[in-house]
Amino acid sequence: MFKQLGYSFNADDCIGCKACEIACKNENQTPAHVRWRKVTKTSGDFFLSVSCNHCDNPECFRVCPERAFTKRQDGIVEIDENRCTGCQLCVTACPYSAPQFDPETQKMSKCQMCYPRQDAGLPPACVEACTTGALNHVDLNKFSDLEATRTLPGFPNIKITSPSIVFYPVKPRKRYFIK
Amino acid sequence: MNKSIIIPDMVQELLSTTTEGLPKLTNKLCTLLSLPVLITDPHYQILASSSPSGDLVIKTILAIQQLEQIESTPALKYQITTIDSELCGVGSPITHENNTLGYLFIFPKDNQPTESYAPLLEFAASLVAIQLYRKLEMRQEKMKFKEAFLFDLLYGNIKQKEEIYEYGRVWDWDFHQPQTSLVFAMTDFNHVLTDKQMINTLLYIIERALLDISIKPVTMKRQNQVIVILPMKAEQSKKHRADIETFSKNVINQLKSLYPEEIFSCGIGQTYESPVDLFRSYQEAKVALDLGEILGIAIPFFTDLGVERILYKHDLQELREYYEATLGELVLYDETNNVQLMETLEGLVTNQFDMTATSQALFLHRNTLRYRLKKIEEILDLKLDDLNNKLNITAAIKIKQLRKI
Amino acid sequence: MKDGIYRNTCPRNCYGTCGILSHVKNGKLIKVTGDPEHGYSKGSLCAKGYAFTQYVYSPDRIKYPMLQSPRGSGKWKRISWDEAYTIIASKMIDLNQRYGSNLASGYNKFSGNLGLLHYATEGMFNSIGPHTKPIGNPCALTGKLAMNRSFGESFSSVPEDMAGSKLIVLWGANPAVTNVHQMKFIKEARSKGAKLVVIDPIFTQTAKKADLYIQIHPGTDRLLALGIAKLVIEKQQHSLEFLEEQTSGWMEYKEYLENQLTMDEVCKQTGVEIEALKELSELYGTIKPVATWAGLGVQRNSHGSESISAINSLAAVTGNLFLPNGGLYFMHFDVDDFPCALLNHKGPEHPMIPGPREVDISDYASSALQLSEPPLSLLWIASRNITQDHNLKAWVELFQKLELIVTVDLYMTKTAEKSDIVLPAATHFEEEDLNVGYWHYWLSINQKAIPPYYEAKSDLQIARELTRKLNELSPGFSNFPADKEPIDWIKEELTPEIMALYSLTTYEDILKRPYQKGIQKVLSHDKKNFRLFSPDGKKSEVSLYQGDSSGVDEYKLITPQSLLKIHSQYESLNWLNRTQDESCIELSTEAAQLNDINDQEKIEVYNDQGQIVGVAKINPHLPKNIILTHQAGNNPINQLIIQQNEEDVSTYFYDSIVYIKKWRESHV
Repeated sequence: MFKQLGYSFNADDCIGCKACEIACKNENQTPAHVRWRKVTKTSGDFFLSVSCNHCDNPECFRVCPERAFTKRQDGIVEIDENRCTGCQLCVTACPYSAPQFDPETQKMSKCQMCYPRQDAGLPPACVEACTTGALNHVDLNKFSDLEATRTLPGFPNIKITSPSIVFYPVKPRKRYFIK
Repeated sequence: MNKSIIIPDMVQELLSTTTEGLPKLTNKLCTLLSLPVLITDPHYQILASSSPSGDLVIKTILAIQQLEQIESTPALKYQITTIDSELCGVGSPITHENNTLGYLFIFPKDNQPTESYAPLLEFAASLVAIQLYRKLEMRQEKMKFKEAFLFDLLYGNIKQKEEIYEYGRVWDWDFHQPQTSLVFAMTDFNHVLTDKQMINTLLYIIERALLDISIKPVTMKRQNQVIVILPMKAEQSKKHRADIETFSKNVINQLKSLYPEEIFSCGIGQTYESPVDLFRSYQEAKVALDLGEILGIAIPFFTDLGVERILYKHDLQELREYYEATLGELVLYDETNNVQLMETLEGLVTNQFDMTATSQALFLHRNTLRYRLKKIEEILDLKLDDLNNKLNITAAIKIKQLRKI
Repeated sequence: MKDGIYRNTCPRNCYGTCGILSHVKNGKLIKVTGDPEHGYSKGSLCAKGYAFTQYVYSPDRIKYPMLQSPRGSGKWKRISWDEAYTIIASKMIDLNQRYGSNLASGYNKFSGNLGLLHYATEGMFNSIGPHTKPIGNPCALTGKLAMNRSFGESFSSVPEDMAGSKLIVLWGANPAVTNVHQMKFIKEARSKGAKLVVIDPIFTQTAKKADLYIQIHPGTDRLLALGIAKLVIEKQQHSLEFLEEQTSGWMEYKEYLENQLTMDEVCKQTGVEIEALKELSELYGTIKPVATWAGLGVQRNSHGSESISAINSLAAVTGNLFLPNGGLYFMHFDVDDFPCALLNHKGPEHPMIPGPREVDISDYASSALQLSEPPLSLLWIASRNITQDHNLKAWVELFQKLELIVTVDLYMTKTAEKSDIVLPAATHFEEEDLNVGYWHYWLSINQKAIPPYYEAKSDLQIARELTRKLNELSPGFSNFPADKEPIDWIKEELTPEIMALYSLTTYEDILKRPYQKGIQKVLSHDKKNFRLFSPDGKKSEVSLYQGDSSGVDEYKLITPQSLLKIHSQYESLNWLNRTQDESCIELSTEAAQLNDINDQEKIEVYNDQGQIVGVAKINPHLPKNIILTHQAGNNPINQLIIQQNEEDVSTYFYDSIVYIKKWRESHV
């Protein structure tokens, strides 16, 4: 009955092209400094593409004095901008820097997993943009894959929040460098 | 039309009760047959019973043994053992679409031929099946609705408390009292390998424990968790915390004895006056649960974990530096001299700097402990009775435990 | 313009030539999505593509025609289009009267927008008779000619077929950065068990994904390809039948490999250890089909032509050349199949001058400076940011001599800043066009989706209006068919032959989806014509890599494109390039130690062409004698490129030697 929509991210397939990040901006027309999704390079020399993880235990949610956050029955964590006063408590609470403050509107906003698109049967814009299929959306209540992991080195601590994202790690490679 | 199809009066009379619930149907069958009648669920838990004398024939079933099948009917002979007697009866399974919903038993007198009852028993069982199925459907329907409501309640999706009160009335729950959220969970839970049965047992144990203390259970299963919403009665406010602790310990102990190889943990959120804030209590309970697991606290209350929460969230590098600055010398001393003074210090902190409690907990003679603490003071170049030092050391030890430095 | 969804095509100089669906509301482009009907990009775009709403409505776009006087002063004055046309036309007519021809008027245009209707600039100049025009291709000519020598014509396999390959070998190509959509076909192949091999001097993003990465000294690909072929033949893993029946030069090639090429030499020159060679030759020798991609990077040096030829020959030796899902990838020039009516517009004849004056685009400024009788006096710049060119000194000199510089652009580039007149160009969303790729084989339409931004105009519209003005001031000056609408030009490209080639029945078909060229036509080359590698007599060596003693302080400059811009294009969009950061100059750990340079320190890269200041980034995977920087608008790196003096080649971008030192205030 309940879903827990989330992402699956394959670090081995991600080429760091940032199409997901900009497709999100294209879809949601967010200003440059409001980055709902971010592609970053880890010290392990692979990329992570991270947005709001629609946590099972959203900390943004607990600390919000205005009760501006809600969790839909499909697991998507929403923020009601009308309730938000821009106090930014959620910024410090979230390990993934998902809530983004817009100095112009003085409000927080964040990834809503393109629920209008999902309600219309379309994948989130970031997932549609991913040419190698490294980024996907899944229902974690049904998801099962023994090769998947809950975290990767370089991803923030998942304790407490229990983010709705699963990962596939980078595979080992053979390399000949000039000596 | 002088030839009409005859419908036996007995059938008519039984049919007339089908809209009035199981007890009426049981009574009617009992009256018609002048025999004791019993209806159970698939696990032989009694749903309804009736006897011609008016007393309940059977209070608790200890064992049921199937005997032989009655020819060309689904009915069987049974031997039923209760606390004070052994009865022989005829039973028919109550089925709907190949699912067994329960059993219907009658107990003929010793001299009566059981076979003659079989057709009526079969007919009555099908009437019971209709009733049980309808009930099941209603329950499932209501459950769905209930879970959706509890989900919305626990994730703060209902912003008006009046709306929550209104919904609560559907299940006879009163949300006017202050509420606390508790979470019980199986640790090392894997999304892939959910043991659904274990979670059901967890739920069952919790609900029973709630009923034992006369609280109407408001509970929800969610993945590896069972969430409990516990009301605080006005007159109990002072012992509310103690009650919760007792209740939680009781549940955890029961679980441990049932599944000794599994690890269960819990977490308790704060108590909120208004049900619109219950979602906070739920999130807090989950934070307490996680920190409790890390710190090895059996019944962790969110309110007790202030410093821990802040430390846990803090930048790891900075915490490392702080830990290094506070206890680095001691770690180094332990390593170079192959001793475990850190263990002693940790014991002291855990026992709130109480010498007696510490020496008992660590199985150390007081003098040995005193000597070691003096050594620690030397190494760290500080006094352990200084409150600021105590604070720093306590924080550093908590960092060690929390972030596994 | 009606609200709705329009079909557009990304016209960038890129492998993708992606199909775009443009979502338009109230005459405004509100978002773009990939066209799922496009068989190559398959419904997704790249990061740059997804930034098009910002690209179109950027406040940095040029809104009106503007006049700067004096040139370079930054004192710009808004003028009307009519004023602009009058100034330009008057100057052209004046020069014509002065010199008796239009040779003093010229243009420089390259790859800013590759749509067929952007040939309007060429058509406009053709329409005034003999003028001065650029020829050549600074990017791919070396490789194109090498492919022609191998195959008798241009050849490049179908990109989608790579998904069915069992082994994919990329030589000097980095699709993870410059051709992201190809990565999905590579991934598809790998998910079916294929292996990916990347050969590159740089440990690129694609190299990081490879099952096998082999680092190589730049410019030595031909030796590696020959070495692998030698090992394959030694182990009898070659396709003898194919070689004997469908190639020419087999005996000569074999003799060369067997008797003149030693593995010691190969290892020494390429820097590749013998184990890696053996591993790759075993893969090439035992797996079929193998897709081989000879990347543009391979041909950006003086050995480029031989390297392409040697790589092609390796694909031939292993019998993979014409195998389905095997093949050889470079790029194609299918645009030549089209009438290109604007490009080939025939202008009026001049009684004395037989044709236009041609200047090699790879050396435009220096060559133009040599011109006299008449000198080049008016320069029209379109689809081009000159400061991205090498030989910047010559450009500075040329600009000083020019009487009128006109730049058509969307943004105030460094070139525009040095012009007399800038004209605001339309984006592809504001004009009609027809686009054909140079990597995949899809043809797609570009519809006008939104009204122009302020007073922006397409190159075609400008050509129509300027030629009208010319004829108004001097009747008969131009024979440009100014009345023809964009749709007429598009229909003119869709000849019956083209329609058949792309399986189109009517013009309207192309409005419904992109169409692919009949694949059998791609593969229907005369297979007997393949010419194997033949040594050209002179013993070619790479001077820089003769042991460790040589040129310890000299570095080879490698300057690829970066992910979120193409030269200066997209540079000002803050969705993509948030900070205008200084150029990042990557150097090896050894080079940093040798020059006492720390990470993040300001350093200077220089040679006698010029200098670039940037921030040092120590890259532990960089070969010790390579300096790596990326193409950018603000600090154009190509000014350090040393021009070679050869004909019929593209620019040897990766052959220049540079030096490095710590940056000091006094140097500025």
